[in-house]
Amino acid sequence: MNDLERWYRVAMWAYPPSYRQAREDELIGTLLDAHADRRRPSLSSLVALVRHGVAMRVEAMPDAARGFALGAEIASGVVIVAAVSTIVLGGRLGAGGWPGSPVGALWWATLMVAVVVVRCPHRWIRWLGRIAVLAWTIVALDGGPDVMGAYRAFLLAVAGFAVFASFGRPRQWKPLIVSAVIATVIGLATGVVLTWRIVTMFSSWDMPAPPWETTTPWMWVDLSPRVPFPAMAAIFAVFIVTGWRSPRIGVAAAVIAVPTAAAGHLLARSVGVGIAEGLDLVWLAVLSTAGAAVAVLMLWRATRHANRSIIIQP
Amino acid sequence: MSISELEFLVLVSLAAQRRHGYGILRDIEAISDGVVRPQVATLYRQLDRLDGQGLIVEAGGEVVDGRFRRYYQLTDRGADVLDAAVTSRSRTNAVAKRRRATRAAAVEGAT
Repeated sequence: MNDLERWYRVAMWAYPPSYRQAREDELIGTLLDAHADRRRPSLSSLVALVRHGVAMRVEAMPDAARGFALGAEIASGVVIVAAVSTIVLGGRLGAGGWPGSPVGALWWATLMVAVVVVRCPHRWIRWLGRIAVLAWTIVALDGGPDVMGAYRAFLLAVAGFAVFASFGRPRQWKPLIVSAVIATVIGLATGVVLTWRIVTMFSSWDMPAPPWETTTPWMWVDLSPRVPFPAMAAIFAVFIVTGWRSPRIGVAAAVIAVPTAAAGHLLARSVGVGIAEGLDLVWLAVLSTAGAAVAVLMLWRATRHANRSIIIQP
Repeated sequence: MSISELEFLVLVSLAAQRRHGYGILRDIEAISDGVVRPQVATLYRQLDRLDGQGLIVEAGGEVVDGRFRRYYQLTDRGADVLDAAVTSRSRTNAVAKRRRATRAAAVEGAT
């Protein structure tokens, strides 16, 4: 195998594996014929390969889009539980009114119930879910320390997408992908803002008192149900493992796990679970990077089957 | 059904005989006077599309110098679409020629 062929074979990783299996040798053969005079491939030929490979993967997206919908539904389940527990148990956000562990436990125990609710075939129950999301929106918009603004914006992006997704039908996957991309962009942007605020906060902060002993207003004590960090990690792991086999669940995992992991870590800090003071930023960076990598990997795998199966007997 | 220029050229190159990917590539270059030189990946994208629409079909393969070549040929449906495209193009060409002649006459009349 010469350099030229090696380059082309690497570029063809962009294609869905099922397509490569059927077509790679033929395409490589034609490429080598067409560029027989070259020792290195032209940039444009590589770009064309990657472009068309990615395009084929995009065409294989519907299944991944349903994964987005599933993840959004679960995320909206979280949001609904947060709304309900805020209204019923905690008073409104920003009043510092969240009790400790009971709400935290409820949060995660009722998560699965909420998922069922949002996925419920009965239309009026789903409507209740949407109304709950709206209620959460109003609650989240109301007051509270400024530092939580970015986090709220992120939740709102998730909530908005969840409402949108709950209207989706399996066949209408294009608006779903568009809204998922928008929600992701908003989420990433708010994540950057959030990180920036934490950085500026840390730099102007002299000596940290343990969060459970302080009433410092900027902490996220106002949003601190006692998140069971290990449970969250377990959910994360289960999703990744199952996601490896089912692209749909994998994408769903990416949609919910990345923000959940980041948020969970921030929340865990406020109740002193697990990680040493001051290491938060490092952990946040590691988690975000890992989460983003997982998301990309999941999407890549989710699109490994070319949309139209091409079966050829040479 | 309307087809793109490249799709049209692919159909033209397969009009008389079956060809493999590289053969199509060279033929397109020849019949377009070297103007159209698609990337291999672009060509295969078109081949996939045309195949998906049932306009062309795979027609055997062979190994030459260790390289696998697959041949493609026009289907009946592809031939029909090509005919329609040719008709439509010659109509457009005729209109263009006519208008061009009218303009040339007008310009000549003005001077």
